[in-house]
Amino acid sequence: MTYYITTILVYLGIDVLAIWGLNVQYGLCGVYNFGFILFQASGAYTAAILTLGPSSGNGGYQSYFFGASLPFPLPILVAGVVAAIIGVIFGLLTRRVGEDYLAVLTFVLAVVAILVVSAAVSFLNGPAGLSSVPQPLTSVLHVSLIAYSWLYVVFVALVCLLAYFSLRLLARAPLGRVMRAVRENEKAAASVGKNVGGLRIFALAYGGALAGISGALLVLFISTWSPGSWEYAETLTAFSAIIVGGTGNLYGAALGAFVVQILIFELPRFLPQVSAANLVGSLQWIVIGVLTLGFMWWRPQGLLPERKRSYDISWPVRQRTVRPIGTTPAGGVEMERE
Amino acid sequence: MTSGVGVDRKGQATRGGELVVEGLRREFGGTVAVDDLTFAVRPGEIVGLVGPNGAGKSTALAVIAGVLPASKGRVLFNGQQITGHLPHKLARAGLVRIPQISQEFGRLTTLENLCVAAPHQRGERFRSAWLPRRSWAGQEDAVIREAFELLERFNLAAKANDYAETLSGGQKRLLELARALMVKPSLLLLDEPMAGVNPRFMETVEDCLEEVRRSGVSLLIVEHRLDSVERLCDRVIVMAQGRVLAEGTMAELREMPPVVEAYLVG
Amino acid sequence: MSILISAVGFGLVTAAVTALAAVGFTLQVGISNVFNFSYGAVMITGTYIGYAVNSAGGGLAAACLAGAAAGAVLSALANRLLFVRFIGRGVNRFGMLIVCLQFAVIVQNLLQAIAGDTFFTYNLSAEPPIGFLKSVDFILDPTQVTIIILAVVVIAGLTLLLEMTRLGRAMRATAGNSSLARACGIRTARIIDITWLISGGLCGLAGVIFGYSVGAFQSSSGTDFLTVVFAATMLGGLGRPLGAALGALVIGIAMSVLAVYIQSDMTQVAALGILILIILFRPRGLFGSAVSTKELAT
Repeated sequence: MTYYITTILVYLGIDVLAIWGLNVQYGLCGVYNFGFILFQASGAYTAAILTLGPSSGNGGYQSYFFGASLPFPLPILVAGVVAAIIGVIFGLLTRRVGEDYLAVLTFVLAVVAILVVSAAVSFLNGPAGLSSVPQPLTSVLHVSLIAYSWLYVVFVALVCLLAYFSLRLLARAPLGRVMRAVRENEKAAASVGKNVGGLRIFALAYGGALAGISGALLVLFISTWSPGSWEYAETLTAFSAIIVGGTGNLYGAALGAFVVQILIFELPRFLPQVSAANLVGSLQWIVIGVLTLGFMWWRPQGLLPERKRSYDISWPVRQRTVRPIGTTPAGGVEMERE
Repeated sequence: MTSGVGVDRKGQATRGGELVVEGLRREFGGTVAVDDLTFAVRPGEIVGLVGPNGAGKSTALAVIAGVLPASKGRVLFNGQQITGHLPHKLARAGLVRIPQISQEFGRLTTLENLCVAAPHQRGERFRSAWLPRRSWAGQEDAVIREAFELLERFNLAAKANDYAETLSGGQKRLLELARALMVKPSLLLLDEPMAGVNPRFMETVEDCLEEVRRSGVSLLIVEHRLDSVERLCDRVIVMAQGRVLAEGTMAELREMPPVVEAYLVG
Repeated sequence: MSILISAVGFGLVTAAVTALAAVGFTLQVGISNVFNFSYGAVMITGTYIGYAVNSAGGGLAAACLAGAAAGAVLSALANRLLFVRFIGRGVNRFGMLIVCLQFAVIVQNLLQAIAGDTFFTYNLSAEPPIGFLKSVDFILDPTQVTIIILAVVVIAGLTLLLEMTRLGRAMRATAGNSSLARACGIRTARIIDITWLISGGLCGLAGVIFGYSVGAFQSSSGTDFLTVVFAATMLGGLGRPLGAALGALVIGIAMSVLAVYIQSDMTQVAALGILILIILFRPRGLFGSAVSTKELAT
């Protein structure tokens, strides 16, 4: 039972980190990236091949390119960098393609990526994916399985905490504000001299890095990673999480990750077994679909909407505390920040 | 009306930017919207650009502002060639276009709409995602103060902490004007600033524009409302079929038969 | 050489299925300005229904009719109850992509829940290839030839409808400029419904013959196929039915011929590669019109 709890907590932390990455891209900067899952996938693969060592080792039953055995935090850091680079590439594509087509382009890229990885077996071991990825520091830490799991939970929590502080800084800084401006109206942002293309690239790179790190953390915990884990439906789930939880709000995104990615998939475990296993699987997806459509219709700003930033004119200028006030034209309740 | 003296971002006295358009041409898909357009806006002037529908006025503004590419000809701003430069580059050089339909940042507050427009913000650098607040806090305070002052000048201070999308049409127009001023421009291109503005509000807008000129900004205004044009503009350029038909003050133009025939009613 | 020719022959079958699907898809893009990515799910519903009819003893014709009817009804309902409403709310292209994909997920999982999670296979009795075709190296059996002829006939019929009839003209007018069409007295709401019924029928029909031509399918096969359909549509130019059909022809044959030289999984990559290039460099495709001057007011 405890092992189950630790696993869930690790998954939660990883999902929250990934959704925060999506929040930087989509929630803050308004980039329509339907290839989001690729960032987490690239992070996972990078961490895996940098931990497994050269493919010829271990009897060579998995084939992949490169391969090294880098010491502990390095694979994770490199994973973040690789994902960031992919973010830059996506950002450059964004400049080329109009808003209208960016979503479908990124969707197609995600589909193509899976096809290529599955077909080019020597690249990343094809459809079978990579497995037997050693968990970090097991040779140094001689602890029980349960204790290791708890340590991993703490580790993931620390990473999330670091990310949280950085994202809060980002949100309050003029950088966050200008990214929101790009989200609201990119032409107006350009007309007042802002570098829209560069800002989008940054959003994709930084958000992507967070997703990449989440992928690295995941693969180092569960030891396997295959194309089945990153189909386009995963991006759809991520967007469901952020739509339900709240776009543009760190707590909302975290809540969305919990509700959509953890709650809905884990709840059936605790309910009495009423029908065939695969029926439950289908039902979960239907519930997510209906939930997302429902929120898009009745509460598009999500459970915890983006908060308004208010200022006092008195010296020194500081952001002030205001009680929640009435409704916006969109029909939601705005909560002002404190 | 005399041109005013203002202060540019280097702190030097300025009389407003100078715009020279030479032989500008814009064609697309067989239609020629702008054809051999040549005129100038001198420092500190308010110039009106009038003409019948389809004369190419808005297109001309869009080409000058870099929103549309020019097929031929060139545009000089303060002596520099700016033909084909993109909008964000022009904004940094001091040229801002305010389009016909208000383009506010809806889910940013009125104050944020202004703050975001301030140029050269240290807090907008990418490293702000990891550096502590004090690396940009000082400059930010100054920006906020400047924004508040502008809001007060334009009588929008009461709405400072409301989302810009809740403003009325006329208020959005003023907001966009104020936002453009945050960039410290020397030339503003305005595409029908009076369109959709409540008639009782128009004099306020006109007063604001006049004040803007006095602070050292040249204005090129495309407008259909000839009474506003008459009250504001030093000089008026009449466009028809993509080129300049005539130039002069409103009084002079009324005396020209081709202008009256093509466009003016009384 | 004969391998190439038979590859072309087989490519014609793929092209036939893709063309029917692409024509329906492009009609929907034209009339509602939305990339309906739930099209694949509706298509696979048609496949399931066709399979059910076939299993109950019905022939190809009965299966086609049933599938087309199901596709028509499902599409028209989806538009009326879902798409129109969200578009009316001001949801942008990206939001609509999510709406369509979530709808697809719901449909696919409903199918899975009802019919089970397995792969379904047609056990068609192996038909010998048609004699005179075999002599010119086209290795096609009667069912495949029927599919090709069916696609040609249906698309020709649709083209005639669009070009020659009042209904067709009304459809084209509404797709081109719906407010202008309404001002001219066209009952655009009804025309939109009819367009979705027709395109949905094409979708369902394509689903049925998809099942017959690939032989094995599961609930997610529709969305996999959708990317190829989308490639054909973009190649031909959005909103152009004949263009979509031509695009399907090109892609179908190209994929089939390529399969002779490279791994068959990579042929889909090739088709999608073409799609990516089109989006990046020529979104109007072969026959679409150039994008008009940007809205100056903004």
